[in-house]
Amino acid sequence: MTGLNAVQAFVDKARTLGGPAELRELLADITTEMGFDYFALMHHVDLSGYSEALTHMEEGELVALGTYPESWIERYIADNIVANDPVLLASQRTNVGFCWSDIPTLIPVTEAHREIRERTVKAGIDDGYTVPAHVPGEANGSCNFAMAAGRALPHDNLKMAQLIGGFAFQAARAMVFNAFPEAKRPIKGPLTQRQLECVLFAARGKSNWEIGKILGISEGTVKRHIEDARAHYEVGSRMQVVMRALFEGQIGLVDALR
Amino acid sequence: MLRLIDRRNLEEFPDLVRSMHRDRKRLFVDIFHWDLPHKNGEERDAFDDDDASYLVLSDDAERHIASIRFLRTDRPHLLDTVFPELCEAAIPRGPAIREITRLCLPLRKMDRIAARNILARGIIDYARKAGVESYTAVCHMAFLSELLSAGWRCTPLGMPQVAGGAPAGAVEIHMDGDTAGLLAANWRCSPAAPRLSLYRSELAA
Repeated sequence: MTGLNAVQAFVDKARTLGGPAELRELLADITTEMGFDYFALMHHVDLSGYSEALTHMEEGELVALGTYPESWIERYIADNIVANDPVLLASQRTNVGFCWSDIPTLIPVTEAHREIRERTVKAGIDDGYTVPAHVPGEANGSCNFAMAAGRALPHDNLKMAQLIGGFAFQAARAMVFNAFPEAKRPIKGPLTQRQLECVLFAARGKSNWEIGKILGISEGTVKRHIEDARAHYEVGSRMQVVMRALFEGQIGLVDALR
Repeated sequence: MLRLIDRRNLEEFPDLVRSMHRDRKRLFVDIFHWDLPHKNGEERDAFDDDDASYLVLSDDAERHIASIRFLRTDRPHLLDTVFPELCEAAIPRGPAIREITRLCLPLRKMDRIAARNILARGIIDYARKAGVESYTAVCHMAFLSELLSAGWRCTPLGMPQVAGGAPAGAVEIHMDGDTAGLLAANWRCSPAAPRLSLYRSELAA
């Protein structure tokens, strides 16, 4: 079967799947066929709702499924690596597939990132190729294809992986969103424009008084907007509001760091 | 208003059509830096001929907000003339297939999504009225996730290649009977959004 025929067969099958376990199987097969060892298809959000049985997807919560070693998935979730995973941070900075070796061209790599990378390698995952899946108004996501230690990326199949990643994420996304259209999701939806502006300046370290001066509103009004955003996300602190807004792609890292 | 503009009614809306070509120049040439011919601040190419038709969304003053161009696939079009390498098998052609090109949306995010959704509904309505079974399009990989998120049935026509500096791929968007029902919630229009007007076009009754 040629690459395109395989992609087309995948796309057709992905529209008729019975559940997330079938998608995992289908994607695992084509991952191997393309010459990769593992995949992880995920929303870049708090993964604590993840269960090995994939009930989080059937309950309309988030996209997260893959074939990474189970012990690594457990550590990954327990240590909340998703929040600072250089692969995911890099994928927020581009819209097209990239090899992990190109990450330093996409983000400044910190000591913490190098440490995560070392732990990933120790867990048996070495090189990889990531396809970002950004849908406006939703949490960022990605489809990650990875290699076992010492194995080289199948460079001839990266274009195919780009297509498969895009279609696979949509299949998973549709599954989650169709599970319970009104289900309580970790994605809380957008803040108001004013709340967003206040949160953005808070992300840049501005005080309520400073934000008020910039936006031409009173300090009390700024306080109320941030308070409302805090209530909206059901979190306790100003810092957590910023993190949620970043996670959900409401504000970009670039905006926050400008 | 959302209008179908074709050879039959093009001359009835000269200001609207000019503002579309101006916005196209601003978006594609000035902002996206695509290498496209333009003159007097208007982007226009060899395919903007008698056989092209457009869906044009306009404001109350009949100025362009957003638009797309439909090309017939039984005549020369982008996929067969400019990007044939994006199609691995035979290029889909025929009277029931149109090519979508020159998707021109507002830059501001809120306006962009609202306009995108109105055009999407227009694309589905046009298919029903004109007997279109599928659309072909060249899609930048950067836009693929968004295009698929609509929920309509898309199939790839070839592997993505670098076209004009960015990876792009050819896709076919199928207009099955239930396409309107497949549309994702965040791709639906608000109740007040304009429906496709065929006024004085070739499809007008």
